[in-house]
Amino acid sequence: MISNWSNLVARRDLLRELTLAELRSQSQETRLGWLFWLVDPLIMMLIYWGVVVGLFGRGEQYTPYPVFILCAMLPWKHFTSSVIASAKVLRSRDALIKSIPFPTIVLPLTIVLAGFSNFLFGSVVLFGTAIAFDRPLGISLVQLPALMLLQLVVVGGFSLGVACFGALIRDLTGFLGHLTRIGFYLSPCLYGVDMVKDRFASGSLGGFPFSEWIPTIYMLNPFAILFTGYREALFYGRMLEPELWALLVTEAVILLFGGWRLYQYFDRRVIKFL
Amino acid sequence: MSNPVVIDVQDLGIFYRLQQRRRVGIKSLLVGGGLRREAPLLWALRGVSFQCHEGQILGIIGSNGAGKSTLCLALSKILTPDEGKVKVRGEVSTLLSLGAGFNRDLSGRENIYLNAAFLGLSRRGIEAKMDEIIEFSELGEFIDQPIRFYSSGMKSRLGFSVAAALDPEILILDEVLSVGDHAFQKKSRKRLQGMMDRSRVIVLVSHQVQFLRDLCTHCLWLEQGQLHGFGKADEVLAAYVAASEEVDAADAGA
Repeated sequence: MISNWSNLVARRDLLRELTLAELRSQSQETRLGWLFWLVDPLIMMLIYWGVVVGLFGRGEQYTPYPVFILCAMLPWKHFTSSVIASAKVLRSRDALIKSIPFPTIVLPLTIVLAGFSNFLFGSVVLFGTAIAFDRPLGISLVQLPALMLLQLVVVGGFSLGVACFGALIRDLTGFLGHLTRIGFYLSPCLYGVDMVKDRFASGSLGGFPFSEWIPTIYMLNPFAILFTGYREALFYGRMLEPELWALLVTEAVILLFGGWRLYQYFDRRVIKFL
Repeated sequence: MSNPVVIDVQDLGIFYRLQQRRRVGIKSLLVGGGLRREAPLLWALRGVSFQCHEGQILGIIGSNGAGKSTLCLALSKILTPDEGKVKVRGEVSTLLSLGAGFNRDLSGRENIYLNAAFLGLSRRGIEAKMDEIIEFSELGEFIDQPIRFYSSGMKSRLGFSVAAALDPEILILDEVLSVGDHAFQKKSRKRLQGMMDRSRVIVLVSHQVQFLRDLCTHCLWLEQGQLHGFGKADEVLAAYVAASEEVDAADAGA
């Protein structure tokens, strides 16, 4: 069954059942159950807080650092867990794909949706931390639903593309861990975009060619805008700049459309490689 | 006037690419050609044409690697043809393996919902049939246990019970009839007979000549991806048995 939009809509029950099954399966694998989805981001936040602030003595301009890091860490975890699992999903479910006609696009989409549910649980920790550290939570919170939707679209687009290539090129799954780690350090997770702007715009890197262009190029990374957006909403209590909204929406649409078309192109071809 | 055509296959060809070179060595990277993969084609099916009319039960027979499963995948629209056309008029239900979509961490009951969703049944539709499925599977109180504790027979019985809840127009079965113990096999064949009575066309893959002779109106004989015979079940199966006996005799003489 071809993974087009009408088939996906017709099989929305399957998408829902698979997502619920994935979440149930995850919670039943652990003793803490769904509580682990709250504990997990808390532990990660404590580790980064301890290392960056406690050990290296950095991040004073981003105080309170727990809120600052959670704003980036939660969407980044959604992204990495989704793309890494999507790269393997078609190979790991090959017996199923060769037995039952169904739009296989539901497999990576299920991973993205289950990861998004984990993200929403983690957001409870983020809100709790923001309240505990007395962040100015006000009208800026209205940005959150749009940011979350755009995050879902961006992660979905990436995951669809990676799912195809993961099935065709087995080596990709081995490299993805390294690629996402590079992405983590190139994105403003541990630091803010202001640091990048200061570094390159002020010319502190000396004769680095086209250094004034680097902050602009840097902001083409959709995660740079997403992290900035969450921080504007929950850390600073401000609105994200309109041009960054426009850029993020454009990138999200291009990524989803590109990922979708790529998946459709490889959809039936991939089966022969499994 | 004959019944309407439900399955129309014209000059069907499906190939797989054989991956010969799987590793890129340092030498080949330096000298060149390491990343280029020689990929000869293996035609799993080629030049296969036949039509199936409403009311027919079609058996597919042939030795291992003949292309029977590939034909089922093409009829189920899991594989798309590389050559020719496959037209199937009606809703297809495929039983190529039982319980393929099961999640081992979930209970039997939760897996019924999941497996039914794969087969195209809605949650409401499956809830109406839940008691019947559980009773047919004979799993009793195990139904609420994670299926990682099930034996392979229990999983197959559950898979069959969900699949048997379907009401398909076109039913494609690939070697899934030997499920469970003798009593369950008898029960499952009876249930299948009911499904067959309600279906417009049934396609059965089996190595058991007598089974196909008992059930099928027509047979299709495949060898090495090509059509060796198609027609009335008795005639095709007789030709297949004769050819098999010739091969056996030749092997015995060699």
